[in-house]
Amino acid sequence: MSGGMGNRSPPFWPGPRRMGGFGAPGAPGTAPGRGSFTPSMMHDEPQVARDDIIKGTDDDAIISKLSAVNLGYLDDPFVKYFVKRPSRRPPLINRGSYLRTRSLDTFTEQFIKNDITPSSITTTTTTTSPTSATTQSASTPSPTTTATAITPAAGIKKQIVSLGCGSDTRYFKFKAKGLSAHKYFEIDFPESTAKKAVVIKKNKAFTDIIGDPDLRLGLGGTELYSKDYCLLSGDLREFTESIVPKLKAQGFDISLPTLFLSECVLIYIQPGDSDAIVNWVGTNMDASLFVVYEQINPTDAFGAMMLRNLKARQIELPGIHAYPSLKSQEERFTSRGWQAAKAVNMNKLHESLSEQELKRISSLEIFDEVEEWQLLADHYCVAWAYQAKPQQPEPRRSQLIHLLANAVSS
Amino acid sequence: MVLDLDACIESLFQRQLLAESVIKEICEKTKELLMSESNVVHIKAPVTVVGDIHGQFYDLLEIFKIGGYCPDTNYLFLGDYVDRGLYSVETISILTCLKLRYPDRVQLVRGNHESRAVTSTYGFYTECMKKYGTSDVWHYFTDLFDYLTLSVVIDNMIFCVHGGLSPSIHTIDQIKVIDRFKEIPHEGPMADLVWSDPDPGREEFAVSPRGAGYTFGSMVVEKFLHENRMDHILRAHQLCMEGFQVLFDDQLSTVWSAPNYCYRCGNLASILEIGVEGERHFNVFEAAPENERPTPAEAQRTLFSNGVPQSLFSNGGGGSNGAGVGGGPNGAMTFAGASGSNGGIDPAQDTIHYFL
Repeated sequence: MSGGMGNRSPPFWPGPRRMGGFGAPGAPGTAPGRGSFTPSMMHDEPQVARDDIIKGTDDDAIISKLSAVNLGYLDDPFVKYFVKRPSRRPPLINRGSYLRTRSLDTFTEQFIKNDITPSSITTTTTTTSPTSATTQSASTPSPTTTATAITPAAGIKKQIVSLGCGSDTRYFKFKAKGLSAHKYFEIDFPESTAKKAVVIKKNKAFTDIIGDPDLRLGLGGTELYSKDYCLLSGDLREFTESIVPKLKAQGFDISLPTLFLSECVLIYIQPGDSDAIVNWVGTNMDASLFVVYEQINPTDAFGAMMLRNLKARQIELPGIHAYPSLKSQEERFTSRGWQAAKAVNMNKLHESLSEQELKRISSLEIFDEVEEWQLLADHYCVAWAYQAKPQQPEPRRSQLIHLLANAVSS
Repeated sequence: MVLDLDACIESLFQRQLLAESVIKEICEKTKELLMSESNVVHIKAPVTVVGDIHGQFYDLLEIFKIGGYCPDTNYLFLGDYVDRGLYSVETISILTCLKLRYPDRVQLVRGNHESRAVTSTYGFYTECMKKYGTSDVWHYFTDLFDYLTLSVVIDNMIFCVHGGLSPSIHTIDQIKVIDRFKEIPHEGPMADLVWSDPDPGREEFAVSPRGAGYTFGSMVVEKFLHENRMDHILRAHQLCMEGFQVLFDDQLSTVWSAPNYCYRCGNLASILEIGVEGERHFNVFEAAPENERPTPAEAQRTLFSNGVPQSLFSNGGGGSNGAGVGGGPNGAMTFAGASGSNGGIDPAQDTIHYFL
């Protein structure tokens, strides 16, 4: 094939683009676990293959996270248990992994820490008119709240639901620092949760954090139950039919304020299915905060190239065309009756780092890709929205709204 | 050994790597050649100026296709030959050979990536380890980089540098007295020349977001050109979606020659063709067509110039794998929990990374 200049392939090469198709994107040591199908997993072959690819994205993400941890961007002693072959990522990937984790951590921390006190209710509250751009509580108090007697809620119980959790370590990381919710639920495909359950059960670092002598496995090892942490297996495309019942069976309470996290998850399923989740949450939960981190902007040169490159690794982003912009990410919620929604891209989040923090991460490694970073960061967003069911009595409803609004004020 | 440069060049055009000993000799000879170059090399038009290439070997071939081959076309390369792309070794090998073969037709300026510190982080070191099994080739090239000139002046009118201007440098003569034969420092005039960026929104110097060098504005540009009696600054260093950018009322331009940079940015690239009368034309091009690039399997195979696939050397090229890795510069390649003898070298090095 050599001779003349360059290696010439046949005139038309129909295969995957050269840069993308380097075998399966899964991490080393990941054999697609085909042994533990639940009936809902019996899709046609291509779908099964696609699901394996989706699961593989967690492997990619966790390696990136560990790279950031090892270089000092992030502090997380739990990530390393999920990575067989660590690998150092390029600086801009480390920076982005840091930023994504930090952003979602900030939401989670504020959500957990926020409480409801009588004094805070009288000073600020949100109005009930849905807008697409407000995030923070307005400063004008609503007449209804000041007039009503407020029952102090001592440490209101909260829940966190991590959709498509993969190898995420947030529960452990937070609890190690003394931050925990009443209940933390993680959900993913059985093959993924089975692997995670093994790591958790096998390592004292994890079981010590859970700290529940009644910690037990279930469903053939694909689920794990404890007092404040549950790992559940399921298919997010069947959220209402199969996941909701499981949640409820483990003590999930729709009356408690709940944070739903989707960290590069909803983007991988059809918009109809992700809408169904948003709809269910909006309709059934008394108060909820939904935080989404995912790709946007598929149509500019960089976005189009991103889709092509991912496609060559057989990774598709079915959700991206439905919610391709910051505005549409907000409307995703506000059009479904959510109170307030806001989306910002990663550049905005990067800009809002304190000078001190920016200096700290800049000192960790050489960073010579400012333009490329900005391009990449333009194509990722964090979108959040909150709602509290209108049928609830005051002051409860205002309390809940206040709690949620404060969680996103940053 | 008698060095047959033409044979080397031909092998490299077929993306066959040169043997380590050949690289060593070529680097030695090129250093001797470069040693006698001033920090400011004066050349005449016509010349074709090339910006960042970053190991995108197939796009370098494209550049020769559209710009013409050496020695028929005179070339000025503005640095950043290595890192980020998959073929930094092949790219710098062929450019070094061309410089050695046609010293008056090829000019190589130093970029900020021609540095030990930067290449340890951005891929060239890793690529050398992967393709040769030891860090020797990386050492040969990074030693060579210390000899690359810092700037070129075309027809006494166009000042060419990789990055930009420095608050410490007002005249060309000040550049000439820099001791360039060393690793690029963290700061100072030499660092500024390879790291700085223009800022059309400003007039003076300001702190650079890159953490090295400065940004410089319109007054700085005008002053420099006036003081040195030149009419244009030509540089690279910054990604341009359209392949080039012209600023400050045509007093400065950026040429960027890595299309679809990192196989991710979707940008165009260009080369700047300067004619005999000094007329400037940006020849814009896209990434080389897909059907002219190797398949993934082919890309993984690296051939040596004797045609022997690199895989026959397994992970060691002499069994010294690991020796150079753990002891990599600044310990950059090792970290906690790394298993296996590859010392943390990314097996998925060739993956185009996103956040998933």
